[in-house]
Amino acid sequence: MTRLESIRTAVNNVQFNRFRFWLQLFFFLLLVYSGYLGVELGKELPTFSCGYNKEGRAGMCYLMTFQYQLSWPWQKLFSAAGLVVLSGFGIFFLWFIALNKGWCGFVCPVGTIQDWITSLRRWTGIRYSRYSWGQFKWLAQIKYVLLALMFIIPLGIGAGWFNKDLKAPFCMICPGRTIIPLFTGDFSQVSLDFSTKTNLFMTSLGLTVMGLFFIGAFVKKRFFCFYCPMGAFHYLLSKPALLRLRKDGSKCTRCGDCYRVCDQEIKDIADDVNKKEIMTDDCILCMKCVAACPEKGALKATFAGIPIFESTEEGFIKRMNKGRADGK
Amino acid sequence: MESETAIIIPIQPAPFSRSRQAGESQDVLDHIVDDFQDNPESMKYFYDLFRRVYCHGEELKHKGLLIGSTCIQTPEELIYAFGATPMRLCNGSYHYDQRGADFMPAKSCSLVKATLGMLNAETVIPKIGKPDMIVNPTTCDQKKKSSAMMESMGYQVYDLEFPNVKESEASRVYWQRSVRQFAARLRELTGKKLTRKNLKAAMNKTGRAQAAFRKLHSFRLKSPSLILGKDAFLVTNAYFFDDIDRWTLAVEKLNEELAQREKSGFKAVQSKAPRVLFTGSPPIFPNLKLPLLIEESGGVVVTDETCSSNRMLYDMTAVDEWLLNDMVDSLADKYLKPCTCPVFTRNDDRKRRLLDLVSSFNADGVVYQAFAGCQVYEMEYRSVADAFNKAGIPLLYVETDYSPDDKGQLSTRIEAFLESLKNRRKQRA
Amino acid sequence: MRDNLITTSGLLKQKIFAVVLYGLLQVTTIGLASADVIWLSDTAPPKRTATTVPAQTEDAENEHHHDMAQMKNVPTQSTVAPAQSGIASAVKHDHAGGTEVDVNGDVVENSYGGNKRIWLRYGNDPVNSAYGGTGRDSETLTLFSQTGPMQDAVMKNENGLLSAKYEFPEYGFYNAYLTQSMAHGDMLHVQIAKAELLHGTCCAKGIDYEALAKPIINNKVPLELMREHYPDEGLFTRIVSGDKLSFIALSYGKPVAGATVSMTTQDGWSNSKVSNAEGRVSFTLIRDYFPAWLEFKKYHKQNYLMVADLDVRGKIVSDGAEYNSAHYTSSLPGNYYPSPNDYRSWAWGLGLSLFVIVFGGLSIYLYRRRRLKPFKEERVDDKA
Repeated sequence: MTRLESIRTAVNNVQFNRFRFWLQLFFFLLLVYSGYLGVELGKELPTFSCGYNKEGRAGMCYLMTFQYQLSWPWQKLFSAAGLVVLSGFGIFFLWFIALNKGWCGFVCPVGTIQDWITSLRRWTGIRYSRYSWGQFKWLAQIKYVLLALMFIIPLGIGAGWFNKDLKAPFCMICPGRTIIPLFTGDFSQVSLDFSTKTNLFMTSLGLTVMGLFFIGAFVKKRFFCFYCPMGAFHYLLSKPALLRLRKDGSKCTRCGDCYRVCDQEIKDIADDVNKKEIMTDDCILCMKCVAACPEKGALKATFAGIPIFESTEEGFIKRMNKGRADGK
Repeated sequence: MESETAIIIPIQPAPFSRSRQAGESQDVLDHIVDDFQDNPESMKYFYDLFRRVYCHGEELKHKGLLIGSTCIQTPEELIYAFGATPMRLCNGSYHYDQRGADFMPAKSCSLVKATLGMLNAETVIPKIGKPDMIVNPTTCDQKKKSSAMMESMGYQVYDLEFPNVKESEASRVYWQRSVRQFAARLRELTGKKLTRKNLKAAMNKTGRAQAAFRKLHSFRLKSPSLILGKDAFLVTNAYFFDDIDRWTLAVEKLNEELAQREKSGFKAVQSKAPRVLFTGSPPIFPNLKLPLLIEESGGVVVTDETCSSNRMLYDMTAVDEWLLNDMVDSLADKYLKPCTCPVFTRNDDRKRRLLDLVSSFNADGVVYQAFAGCQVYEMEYRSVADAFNKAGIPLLYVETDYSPDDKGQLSTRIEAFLESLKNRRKQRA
Repeated sequence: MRDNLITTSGLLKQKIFAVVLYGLLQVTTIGLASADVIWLSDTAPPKRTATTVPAQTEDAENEHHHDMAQMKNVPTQSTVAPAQSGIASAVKHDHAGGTEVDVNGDVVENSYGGNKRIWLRYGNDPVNSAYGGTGRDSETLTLFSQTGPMQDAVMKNENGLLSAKYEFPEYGFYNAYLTQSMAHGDMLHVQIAKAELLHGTCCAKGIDYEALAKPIINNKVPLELMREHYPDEGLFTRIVSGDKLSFIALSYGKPVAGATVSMTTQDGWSNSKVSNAEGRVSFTLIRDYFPAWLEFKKYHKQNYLMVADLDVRGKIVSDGAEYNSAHYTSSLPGNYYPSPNDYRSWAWGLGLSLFVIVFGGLSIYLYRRRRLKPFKEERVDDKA
């Protein structure tokens, strides 16, 4: 075997869950703590690197920047200052297309937290919940509704229709705001702000979401990702992305192994044998499906067209064996 | 010479190996072993196994309770987890077929006749003992109706409710529920509990077996072939009744030998031998009539899509979390979703599988066997033929049964088919 | 007789009048000097008086935004930047970007921008002190930055109100001093109005907190009050009710004991203490903002005013004149806001979260236990 082939084989046979665990941990520490070391990646990150974690964060989640910019008064927003918004969006877009929705599956600290909660549940032996197909269909629309509100409300503030206290509406309900600062010892977000009715309502909503986040993530894998407007935003921009998930329908036996392991319960990954690009709007590009596919070449992740992780029989057998052996 | 007492010489009970039934198996086995050259060394284990079990009627030991099954959709892992031994009851003996014909309709499928004939007989070969329970998945019509018949023969039968549609959510949930209920029934039967540990151990066993089979499967990709199809069929047929650990070891040894063969550039057939994909009603020892005919005539069966071979061992289970609920549901999904049995309403998966096998194995043609009376396989022939027509792949449709009478006619047809494959190849090259 | 009185006493009267007038003037100026404290305020006078720049455009320049490197034309940098350049993230505080209410209840933006406008006011009532002038057209405003003295600015008299406009290009704290001297016989009375101005941002990263907390020392003023910064104050001062404020009374750059320091809050409450041996005096800022709940504004800007008085005996020379004693008065205003404890409740927050978690968890548990009956999802009822 040539050098390239042996590298390819090693990658395809990797103990995927372990690899992903370490990679997620690395990104979590980077995004939540490396601000203390002076790392600064800008304010346009396509992942929940929460802006409320003021000291520790390595860069800021673009949604915060975006919502603040959109709530500028309209005469400012639609003037020359609006170019700032476009340039910010451009940088966000460039970050995004590098990893596509892989930001969700490997980098996002909130995603990592959910995966840790899932590990906790597994350790307790409590089984997880699945959505029925009907539930899946209509629940999947919620993220688009949130995305729309994330545009409309800040614009409305800028136009003067909405109360200024509604600034950054998604930040107020995002679990990242309440939970990520906890990791740096900042409990100030876990409080209700009684100063105005709007603030009281928004902070209540935020804490309700936090409570739901914990129990939801406990019984459902990657619970919040299903409703995340960042995910919806990503999907709408994902056409030119470099990292892609591809399927070769002719190799697919529709065994549904990919569907079984999918955190987001995407049925299309197993049942659709015609589409070549198989990343749907719910997909977080965690690649568990690729790791769980026993047919060679049926699923693969490509970066700029080059396959980097492919499903192989050997890899499958190795990974499932390890699972059988030590139950991870 | 009046008062000579007639000496009555009672007919000695003949040993099984001298019976007609054994003779049938013996003939086939001899044909398999002796009439072909260069059989792999490690196949000796299998030849020996079949000789002992089918020709000498040797007893086979099993661990725990014996759970017979009439279809590959029975989740074996659950049976192993409860400390029992699964055994596939589908039978390939013409002898039993004739027995079964006594009480089955004339136009029935030979396989069902043979299986029922076997269960009804005094001597059941393979001699593994009476099953404590027979699991009968509700797949094809004839299997379904056998439930009541088997019960009347004195067996305990469990109807495993298998859906006939696999696309809908309802059917998938229904099947998961059936498997869960089956696990509950096994718990009742064996008195043991299903735990993570024992199910994992069971999945380890079958996983190893599946991995070994996959390796064998991938060796058969090689052109010219390293091993003949007759041997591969024997190997997978042995899985029906052989002890799984022993079987796995034997297959792994075979794989090693094939690896050697590959390295040394060994050819089991001529390079010109037409490569054939075998699909349809399952050939079960001793009814390896059609594959043997193909290989006698110079072809080689490189792969198959039958439930006595490839379909039984090919699909592997993926589990996300090794907790019981996920393991059992994953098993259920693995038995249903990739299944290409013609009992389903739609057969898109089967067509795609066939086309994929043809392309990856570089098969020259397809032989489609349908047992007379097998409505599902016969009806599916149409759509499969269309698909192959479109893809430009030659298909030979053979409707046959267990009786050896049509051998002559079939061999003519097969020879002609193989000739046409050879010519086609020549033309393309 | 009357004529005589008029004629003679008329002249006398004139003289007396002149003397009285002069005296009055003196008294008024002295009175102004000794009775009314002067201080520098950043709050614009109410719109009734014709001031030049109304509040809004001022706010447009001083608008405080959260991530606004863009506003200040300072690029975001990826290296650790000193306080004066580079913005990336927010400093610990209860995030604002909000609005404040000035004297008249008008909404203004936070005044952390570089453009400063200060007015001269008289009196020690932070709300109702009059805006005024010193009778002259302009006054010198001494400016100090953290690195030392800067070029003086000028306070101009416009329509009787003395004000100055200045733009501080770089981030940091600046002190502005306006000194007025008056002689009362052989007692010198000096009034030093001081303002601590901040061109700050809540969004700076990598700032040197220690350097910013270092006090600006002015060796030339006979009395000033220096507010001791909090160690984590950085470039964003946010004093809230309940905070303990410490001041050091300095005379010519050296701490001085025995200065009487008084603090007056927005509502007129005042407290008075004497500086200790280290010159230090501490006040805990009281809460005096009690609106109706619906009118509560969490960024309601309130003013406090610190006034220090010090008497010095001994020979003092100033402007070529000698005096036997001096009385120094120094003022330092500041802003404070409602404390988060007035509107933030951790107990409620935690309570709500726990309630949701417990309620949700219980629901899921009960649902799972009840959901043992299969296949009930397809229903046929009369509505179909």
